[in-house]
Amino acid sequence: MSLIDLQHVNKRFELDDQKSQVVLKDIDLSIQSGEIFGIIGYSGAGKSTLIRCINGIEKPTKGLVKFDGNIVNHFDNPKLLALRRKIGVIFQQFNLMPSRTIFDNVALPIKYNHLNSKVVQSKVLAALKQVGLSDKAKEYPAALSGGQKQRVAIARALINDPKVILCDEATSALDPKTTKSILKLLKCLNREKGITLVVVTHEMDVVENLCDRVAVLDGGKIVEQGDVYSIFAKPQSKLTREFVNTTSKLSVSKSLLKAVALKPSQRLIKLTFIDGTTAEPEISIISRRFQVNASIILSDIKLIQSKLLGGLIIILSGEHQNVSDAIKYLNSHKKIEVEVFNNAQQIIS
Amino acid sequence: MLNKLFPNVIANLDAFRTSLLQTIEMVIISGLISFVISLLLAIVLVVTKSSGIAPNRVIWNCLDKIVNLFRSIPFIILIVALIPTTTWISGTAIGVKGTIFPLIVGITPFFVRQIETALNQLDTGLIETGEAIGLTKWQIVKSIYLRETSAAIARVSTTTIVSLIGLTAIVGVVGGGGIGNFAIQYGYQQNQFDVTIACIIVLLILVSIVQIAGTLISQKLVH
Repeated sequence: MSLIDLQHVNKRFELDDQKSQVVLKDIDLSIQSGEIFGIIGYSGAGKSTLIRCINGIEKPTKGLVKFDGNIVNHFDNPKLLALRRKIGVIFQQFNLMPSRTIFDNVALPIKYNHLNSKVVQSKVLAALKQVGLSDKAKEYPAALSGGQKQRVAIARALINDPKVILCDEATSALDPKTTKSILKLLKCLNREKGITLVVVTHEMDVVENLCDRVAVLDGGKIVEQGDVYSIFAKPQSKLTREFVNTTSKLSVSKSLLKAVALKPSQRLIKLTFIDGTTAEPEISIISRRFQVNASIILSDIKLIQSKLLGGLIIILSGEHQNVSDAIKYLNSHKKIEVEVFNNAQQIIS
Repeated sequence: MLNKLFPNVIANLDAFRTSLLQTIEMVIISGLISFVISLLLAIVLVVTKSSGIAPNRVIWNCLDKIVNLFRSIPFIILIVALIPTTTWISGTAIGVKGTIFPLIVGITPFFVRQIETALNQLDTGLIETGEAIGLTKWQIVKSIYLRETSAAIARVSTTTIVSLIGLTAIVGVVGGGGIGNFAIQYGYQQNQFDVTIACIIVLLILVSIVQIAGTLISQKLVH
């Protein structure tokens, strides 16, 4: 069942001098309960506004936002506050309250719930345990590292047993190693507690390592959406291809061509495997069948949603006819994308 | 030795002591009342601004203009202009009783701006977080705005009280009592220079105490 539904959502901000700015255009999204949904785009694409429409901080100018079947933009104030308590949010800058201890930071969302202090204590300690920071309850945020701060923010988001956690660039201020550990924690919360995650980011790495499905946002519009594997394997729009390329080591640059110094008889070939064909021994096949030598100079094969995806950059050398026959063979392969370069960096076929 | 250095002060020691107490009384009473009013007005300004948590153009504009208006009137002119109102409120326009009202009116616009600046310097992400975790507007004011800026508010309050001490000396000119009055009466009108010096020293000590106390409090509030 879909937990969050956005139907034809438009958002326009009225600026002071009678102008207005359209931030979201006709957004249609459906996020299923229990999935990890990514929203990727450059800054200014409308990602944060989209997230703020989900928890009702922004009201769409047109369209419907549904949460659990209820229409959020028809909610009155008390209902909105109740909704926000069911939706956890974590931010790029962590947004911990510097004057409060870690314990009080995590307890802040339930501070006004008139709960018995013992109940509060057990909830806070359970949340801190979940993020692995049980020993930091009495510290202040200033004493913590970035990764620890984000863990505290996650504990704060968990305190109300949310159905969803909205992650607004949650790892963008962290170093790669810390990013990895936070992503692991988020994934673990999703798998163990069934918490739906909406992950807004500009980093394709995050989508690759965390998300099940992804929507690509450009200028307030969704240009492409689908499961992460097919987005990586067959990106349709130019922007999506750009994002996918940021995660790939397989780009043929001038400096690469200079470094390999192709002879006239040699060809540099970029092979991209799609549909999990990486296991097939194509390289061995062409070298045997066409009497060509293939030397692999770059390879990048990754595991996305338990399927292999990636490619190789190889240099083919041999008799001129054999090389072009081998290329022809590769081109005929439906599950391999082939790009051929000569020493002048031209794409030949 | 004090006899030699400050003969005229020693001669009027009782009056000097009374005027010091009067200054302290004026600062404490008008400072406390002004603090409460200023805090409320500053909160209203910050909350109703266009990017605030309860934007309201009309209220913000009115309040903003009024604060600016009062800030632009020199204090000595303000005291005179307020005399009818002061008499109506306090029953008198002179003495300590007659100075509290003009002091409050004089210092509050400055105090409001100081606290407003402190509140506005708060990281907007913290306010956004308050909204996102489902706090009401009043809870955001109480547990985020006020709590997280308490050190900054302590700092600007110190600055304001130092200014207020200056204002209490000015009300002395129009018969307000306190150290200012003492300095005018003895130091200026009777040309007793040692009195002026003694008044400066006492005010210097007073300001230092306030400054040190304020710094300590704001340091206590920072983590």
